[in-house]
Amino acid sequence: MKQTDDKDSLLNRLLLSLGILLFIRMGTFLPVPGIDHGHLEFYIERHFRLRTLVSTFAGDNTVVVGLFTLNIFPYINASIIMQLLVSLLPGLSKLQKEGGAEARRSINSLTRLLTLGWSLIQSTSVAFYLKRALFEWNLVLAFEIVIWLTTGAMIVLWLSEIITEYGLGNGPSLLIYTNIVSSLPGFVKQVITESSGKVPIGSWLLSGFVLFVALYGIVLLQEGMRKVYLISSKQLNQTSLPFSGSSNLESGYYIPLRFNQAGVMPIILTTAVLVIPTFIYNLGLLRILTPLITLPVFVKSYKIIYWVSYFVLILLFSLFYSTIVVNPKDLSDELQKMAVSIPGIRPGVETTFYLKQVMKRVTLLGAIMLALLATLPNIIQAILSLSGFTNLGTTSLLILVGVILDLTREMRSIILSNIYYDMFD
Amino acid sequence: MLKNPFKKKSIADKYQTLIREINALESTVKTLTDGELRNKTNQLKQRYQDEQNLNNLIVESFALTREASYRTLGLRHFDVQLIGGLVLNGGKIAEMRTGEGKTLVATLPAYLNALTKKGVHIVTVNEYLASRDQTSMGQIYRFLGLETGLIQEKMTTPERQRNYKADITYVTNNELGFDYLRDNLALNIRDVFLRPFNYCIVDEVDSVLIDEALTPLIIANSVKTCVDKYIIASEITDYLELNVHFEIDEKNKSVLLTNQGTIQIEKILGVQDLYNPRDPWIPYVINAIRASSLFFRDVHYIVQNNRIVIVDEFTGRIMPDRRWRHGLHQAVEAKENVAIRQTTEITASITYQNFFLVYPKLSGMTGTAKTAEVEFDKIYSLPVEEIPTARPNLRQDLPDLIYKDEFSKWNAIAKECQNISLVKQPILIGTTTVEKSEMLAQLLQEYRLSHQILNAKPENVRRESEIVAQAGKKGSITIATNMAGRGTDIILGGNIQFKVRKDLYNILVTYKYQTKENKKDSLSRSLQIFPLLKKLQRTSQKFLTVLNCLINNKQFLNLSDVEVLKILNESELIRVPKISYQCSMKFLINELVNFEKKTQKLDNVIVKNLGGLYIIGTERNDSQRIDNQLRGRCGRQGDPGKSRFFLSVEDKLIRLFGDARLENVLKSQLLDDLPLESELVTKILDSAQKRVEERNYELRKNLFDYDDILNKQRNVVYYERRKVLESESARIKILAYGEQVISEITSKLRRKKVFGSQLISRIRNLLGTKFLLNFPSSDLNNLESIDFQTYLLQEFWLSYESKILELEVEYPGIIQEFERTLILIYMDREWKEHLQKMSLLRDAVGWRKYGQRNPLSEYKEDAYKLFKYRGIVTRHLVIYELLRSSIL
Repeated sequence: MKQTDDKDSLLNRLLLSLGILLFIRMGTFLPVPGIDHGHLEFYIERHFRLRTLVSTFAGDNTVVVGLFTLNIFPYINASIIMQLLVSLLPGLSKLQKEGGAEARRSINSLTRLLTLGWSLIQSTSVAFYLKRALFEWNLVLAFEIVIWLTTGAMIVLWLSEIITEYGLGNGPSLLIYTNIVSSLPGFVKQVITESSGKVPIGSWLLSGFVLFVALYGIVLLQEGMRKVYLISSKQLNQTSLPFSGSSNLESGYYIPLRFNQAGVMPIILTTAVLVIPTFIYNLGLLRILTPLITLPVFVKSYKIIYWVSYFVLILLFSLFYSTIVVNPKDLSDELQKMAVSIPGIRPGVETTFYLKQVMKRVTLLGAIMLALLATLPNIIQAILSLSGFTNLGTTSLLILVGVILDLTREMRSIILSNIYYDMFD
Repeated sequence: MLKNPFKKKSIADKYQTLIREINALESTVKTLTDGELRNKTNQLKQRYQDEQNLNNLIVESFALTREASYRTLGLRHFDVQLIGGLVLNGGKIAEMRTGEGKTLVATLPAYLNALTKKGVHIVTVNEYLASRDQTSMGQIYRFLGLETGLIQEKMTTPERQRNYKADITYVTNNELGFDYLRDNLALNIRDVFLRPFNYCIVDEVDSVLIDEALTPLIIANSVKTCVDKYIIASEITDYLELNVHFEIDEKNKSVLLTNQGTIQIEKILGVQDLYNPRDPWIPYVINAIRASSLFFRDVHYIVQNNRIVIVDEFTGRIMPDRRWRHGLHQAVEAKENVAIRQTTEITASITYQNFFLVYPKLSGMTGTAKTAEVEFDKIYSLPVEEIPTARPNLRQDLPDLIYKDEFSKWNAIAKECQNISLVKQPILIGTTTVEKSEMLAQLLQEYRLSHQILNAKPENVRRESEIVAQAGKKGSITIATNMAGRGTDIILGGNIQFKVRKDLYNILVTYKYQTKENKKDSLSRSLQIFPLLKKLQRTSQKFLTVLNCLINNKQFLNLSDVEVLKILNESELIRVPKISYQCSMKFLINELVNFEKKTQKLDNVIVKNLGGLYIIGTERNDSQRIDNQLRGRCGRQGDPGKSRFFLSVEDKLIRLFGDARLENVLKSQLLDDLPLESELVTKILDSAQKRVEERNYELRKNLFDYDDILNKQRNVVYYERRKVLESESARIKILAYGEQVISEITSKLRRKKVFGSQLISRIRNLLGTKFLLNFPSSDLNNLESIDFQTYLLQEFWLSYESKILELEVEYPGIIQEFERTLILIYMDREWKEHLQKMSLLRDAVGWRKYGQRNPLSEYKEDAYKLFKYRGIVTRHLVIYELLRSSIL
């Protein structure tokens, strides 16, 4: 009894998580040596575009290039890439499915390597971007900056893994969470300053209401699921069938198919895809079309086209991604392997078909909700002309809600394993 | 996590000061008389009572134990053994090589911890070891004034209780675990065996806590089973083809029924759906296929007395009381056409993992723990310490030889045996299954090599000690399964003690019968029968005189053969016998031993010069520890020895867990008879083995994580149960239950909005009494919830009191027992039900991962709900039954 007691104490875990988050937060403001921040500030005051760049890194309006400037983002990108690779490369997906602890370890170390690569790229780009801002810029300094930032990113990765292992919550998601939350004050300020006086109270209330609805919708989206009930060989083998009297509902044998299997991935992918046209346009490849684009009709409809394609793409990516997360064929095979079946449906092809159909419906519902939630703020913004509202995008909201839900679940799980200690009266 | 590599001191350094202090005390202790030594025990006990700190007593108690051991057994603990004792006392695992005297080491912490008067348990893996250790080591404790106990399978309740009350109890893990479970099913406090746990030393700790971790201890009662389905399902398998109708997965020991297979079976059986809950076939079919294609006779089980007996994979021994679960055992019985025994229903169960964690202080010893260090640390919080050997280890582990296929491997083994046997070096060949050991025996027969075979077959088990005793003899070849692992001590040149005992037994028994038949002058006549005696006549006349006295001793003549054997076997363990004929027999043994010693010594030297015991492994086991156990049979106490593993590309380990590409390369490159001997391949094999170990570790870790919840629930239930069991009267409990039940009922009915006369009838149904008879239903609706509850409570108290009075009048004095038993019975019943639900839940939550839910968290969530539900149902049943009960 004793050895689990202190390991699973909620308070200890909470304190550890908070401590590490605080440490990383502090590290973000710890200036990288060699960079003259006076020069930087001077430059930034003149070049607003860079200001947005630097501040987005740290999550608020600092002009410090800190040790942990890259934060957890290299890792996030790396794991997204890894996730895609796993689902696309048959060798890797086989490794993940069949291998045990060792496979998990090798995938983890691959992700870490990718993180290292990504941080190198990202820190190099920062180093070269700073060339314009710093007088004493030279290759040695650039090299140093790369080393500092990459090291910082790797330390953050290590700390985040410690949170996952010994603390409360999942390290990387908690870090993203803190980054989003730390940008909230700035966001509110921005909204207030940019729309002060122009907006009536009514729109404020309305937008508050919309925010509430959006949050509610997100929770529903995250938690909503369709239970596919199962009947297992083991259950049938139980001699006195404790559940035989009641229906299957009580048995606990079910597959929960979530409305939103894919999480925030569809939005991220969509955003990434939608950047491409702008990018191409900026490259000047479409110069021939310029007269066409600048036509007033087109400018007006451009936004609409953008949002429609945004909506459609999210829908498509959701559908595509959910089949990656849960493949009906694999699921059906797994059911057959474990001698478990869906009542009334024959194992094998019939089950696959059934699952495919159920999943299609469930995901479609979830995808529509997701797409609606993602485009909603923009529509609101357009209607109420509350600028800055989009900054708190649905992605952020989804992450915030997701992290909080995960946290509560983890806390509940810890409480539920310790609850029995209180039963010795 | 953060460990300074420079800070890590060697184990010897760590305990240096303590060892020095113990050694310093030795001369003082030596001067004490026996009586004074014994007196010291009482002093130490008193000091513990005063100080409540064992650490202050370590030095003195260790010195005392060492001296007592020297005076009783003639064995003085080496310094490394003292280190072992300190490690054990520190609640850690001591890794000690074979033959380093683990049993003696255990006496040090056992004595020390017994000073608390709270009892010490020394757990061994089998009864023979328990009784051997208790008889020999018991002398030390007795000398020091402590009681020892021994638990054996056939003991009665009072015997068990008495033995568990002893200061130090030797017991097998099996018995101990089951006694714990039985204690928690007892309906009367008088039937409880065990005291609260204090300290435990587990011998062969890796076997108990790791190899057996996945097999839970189960107390079950049989339920009526329909055997037809097992038989029909078994017959169906004849009409199924591998890879057409079903597929097998050797790694996970599971089978998959294909669509074609499903259709085929449905056609044969003439049913629509195998999963039909009203007429389920699928579990029977799956089990039948598993039985026919994954479980083999003489590999996984043997057939003995018309029964299926499981052969344990790790120890190679049969497990007569163990049965496969979930209908698999019945399926195997159907396959082998033996009587199908009834299925069982778990009434109580616990895993060794959780059972041993009940001890506030736990320690263990084994020869092979280092490779499982992480597991011991993570699951049991038991650090592993390697104890240095008293003498340097001379064993030589030769690199593995890898052959192209099984055929050339076995041939190579036989040839190797032939070559080695030319110089008469003793050989021990370890095989993994009964089947393979017999196959190899046949092969050796063809090569005309005489050999002994040791496996789980009953005829071989009977000769086990004899085979082992001779395994170290010049020129002997022994084929064994994993049985020749733990606790097998092979002495080079043969074990004379064993030979002497055997010879003497034959002599004594013959004479016993002859004197009984009044053939006076038998001794001189029958010298002819035993050539040994004739030889002895020349060297020791005294032997014959004593023998003559002995066979005229009335007491001796009254002994049965078995008793003679027992005395002979124990004579080595007991140094100072008490009864006269025991003395005589001891003398005879010593005399014979002395006589044989010269030849034995010579043999020993010869075998040592030949290079000691040569161990041949025929296949890598799933775990490195098991291989090391086999290797550890040679090179004991600084003897020379060699070990080599002969492997083939077709071995299970390589086939299932190796690299497919490597396999192909090896297969194409290897010539028929030429082996590959390369460090690289050995390394690859090591990593494959590591992978298997890791997989199994994951399984056990997973089991542990899930079982942890059930264990916490079990602790709560057992605690509550124990309190009821120990209480004078369960009256308070009943009243508390009553209050809870009433508040649960009322709040539930309120929630469901049940009013009026319906409410009255519902409550009457739920409580089983005539409550509320004189209560107008209209008034009910106007009552506040709290008033309504108070009213019901009053009614409950009244009915309860009247019930007690009623019972007291009819059967005076029965009420307390009645109440207690009532609660206990329903607790047990609902716990049993709960266990079944939890076992299903464990299975069910696995599917939740498809909703990106953590199965463990989901398990915790649902387990808590089930647990709460269990409590509610128990309370309701108790109150319902109590209020309804009428005098019969």
